Amino acid sequence: MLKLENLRLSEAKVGKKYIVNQLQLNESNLILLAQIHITQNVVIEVIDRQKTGLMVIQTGSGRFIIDPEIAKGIFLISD
Amino acid sequence: MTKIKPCCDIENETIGDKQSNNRVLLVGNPNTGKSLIFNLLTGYSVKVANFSGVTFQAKSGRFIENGHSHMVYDLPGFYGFSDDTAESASSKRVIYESEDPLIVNVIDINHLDRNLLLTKELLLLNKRMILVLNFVDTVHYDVNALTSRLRSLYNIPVLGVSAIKERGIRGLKQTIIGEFETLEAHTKDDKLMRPSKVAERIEQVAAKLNDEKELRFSEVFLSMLDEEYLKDYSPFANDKFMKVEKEVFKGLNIPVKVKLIDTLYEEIQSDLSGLGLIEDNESKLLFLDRFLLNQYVGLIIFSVLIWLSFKITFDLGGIFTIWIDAGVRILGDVIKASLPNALIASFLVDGLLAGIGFILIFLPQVTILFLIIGIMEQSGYLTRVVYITDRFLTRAGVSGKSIAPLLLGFGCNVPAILSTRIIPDSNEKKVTALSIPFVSCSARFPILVLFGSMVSTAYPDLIVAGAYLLSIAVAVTTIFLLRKFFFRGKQSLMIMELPNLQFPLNNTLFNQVYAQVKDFIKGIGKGVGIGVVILWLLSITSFRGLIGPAALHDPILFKQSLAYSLGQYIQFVFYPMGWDVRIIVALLFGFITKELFIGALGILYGTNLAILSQQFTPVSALSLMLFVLLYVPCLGTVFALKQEVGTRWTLFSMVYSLTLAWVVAFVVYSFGGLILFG
Repeated sequence: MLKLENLRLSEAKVGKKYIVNQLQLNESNLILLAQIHITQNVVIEVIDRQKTGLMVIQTGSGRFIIDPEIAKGIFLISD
Repeated sequence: MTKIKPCCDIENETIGDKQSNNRVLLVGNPNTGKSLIFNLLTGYSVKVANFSGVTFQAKSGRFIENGHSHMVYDLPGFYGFSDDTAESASSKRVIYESEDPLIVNVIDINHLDRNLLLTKELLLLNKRMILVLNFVDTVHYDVNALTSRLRSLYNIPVLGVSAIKERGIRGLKQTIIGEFETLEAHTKDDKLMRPSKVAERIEQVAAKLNDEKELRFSEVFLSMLDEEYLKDYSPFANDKFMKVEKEVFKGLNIPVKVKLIDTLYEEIQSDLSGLGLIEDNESKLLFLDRFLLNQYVGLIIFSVLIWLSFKITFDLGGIFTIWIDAGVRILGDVIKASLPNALIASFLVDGLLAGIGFILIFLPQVTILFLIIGIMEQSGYLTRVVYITDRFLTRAGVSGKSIAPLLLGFGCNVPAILSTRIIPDSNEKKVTALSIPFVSCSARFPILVLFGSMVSTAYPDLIVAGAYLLSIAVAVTTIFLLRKFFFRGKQSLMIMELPNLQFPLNNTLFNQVYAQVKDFIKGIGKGVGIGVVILWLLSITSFRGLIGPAALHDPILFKQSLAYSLGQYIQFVFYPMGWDVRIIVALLFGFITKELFIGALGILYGTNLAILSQQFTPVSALSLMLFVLLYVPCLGTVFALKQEVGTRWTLFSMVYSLTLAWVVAFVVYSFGGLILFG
């Protein structure tokens, strides 16, 4: 059952899967994410997070290192 | 084994200047194996690594089959035509400007949907095209069903290959030849490829602009995706186009580009539906990421691996070094005994053999280093290192975009500096380029090996590992200082693909190591060869004329030589360190290339390692080692810096590195005894 948390990716728990709910980013980052298929309804698993906020995420398109500033603009709901 | 040939950049050439009219463009996302396929097609040896950003400018090479010549271009990877990175700009330029090319779109079968986005966009260009699905050996489903589906949907040849296992390359060559032999017009009906959900609106844009001439769908579509295309290649007046686009897409709550990309992704999912593609195609080694990416465990693993690398290099390489050292000396004795003319014998033995042979003594260690770096690159481990060490770079003030150039610096600083072009932010680009000369390149490695053994006979591996860590620390500190005082500004944001972990021991790795070793030997033959001859001449002549070969073995006679005079002019600079004039002469020659520093030592001190070691105390060896590690790497680096950051900052870099090297050497020489021996 879906739990509508709408939390930021930067706050997501390591090892958990989420669904992308909305993206609040500037146009160039939106395009960047769209190109690697991180868009609404895509499932993201958080693999690791550093103290600096840098994260590793897994999507259907592959594994990515993602900047904390970008992660702040990606909102999720629990899978 | 694949025949290895040198390769060339095409950056400053016009596409189409080449003799062959058959132009093949290798296009695809980053890290899909394009460079490897390029090497397999052409027999060249461009750098291949399992991280994005390795190909920062297009490379070209030729393959000839059945009497037909084909010019192949390896283009930097990019995700799509709306990608605005520097790598994508150079690739897109080649695609737009190539007349009637054959596009070979290489995609990673493990990430089909992401890779097919670019495929869909390329199809709309209406150019001849082949789709190559790479890494077919890593999936467990029926690839034939997939290739047939894509072939029938996209109406182009589709092939499965495994570049790393060299499978399917012959078939690819035949398909390329077949495409060029097809006499019929290659242009297909682009209506088949039009993304249905937005096609109507794009046609509306075309209709509103269609007051002057007939417009192609692809021109409108590309103008919407790529601002560079709209500006430089489209037939539209930019302002008018933007106005019309805005009008047609009125009410859209996301950027038009994102809408187009989303639509294409929807179509890709429909293209792949029902094929039963099983999502278990990730590397079986990915569980290792739990440890490799951990900010504590990962750093410990990294430190142990670094130490282990140097330990293997010393222990294994040292065995061969002793043999080569003995071989060089025996060869010298044989030549001297068999040649009656002392001058010719000296030229061959004291000049060429001493200079070049002394560098070759360290070839085993250099080969092992190339192999270890290759394993780290191709396994995908280096990108994990980027992640766990990011906190240091972030604090210094640059983003992950700077990592690829810094990593390339461990091989050679020159291409590393040129690769900073991939960094979009001008300030980040400059600070990265200015820090690269401190990254210890492979040419400095023999020097570290030589002097590391003199600093500590028991732990030379730790000394060299320490020198490498120092070089990284100086590079990062340089970035920090430059960002703080000269190049302030916001850090750019990063998203970087973390490649699959893969087993790296394969032909590709061995071919690459072979090519690197060959380049290393070639470099010695060219630049170093001329340098050692000049130094030999300067050592046996004075202002009054020829002194004779005896000057190389008689310190009093050597004082009359031009080489000694040359060193004496600047000896005062190094007076506090008490270095011999011969060291200073070697340092001067080391400014041309670092290999020449070792060659000069061979000429001026002889090739006997034991005798050379007697000239240094552990402290003086350490101070000299650190000076060589930190001062200007070579003339090539100076030229590369001038090209990328301009004359003023190149001069700054030279003065800064020389000053820093001098200060470090002085401090170590003055106080090193206290630190090392209490």
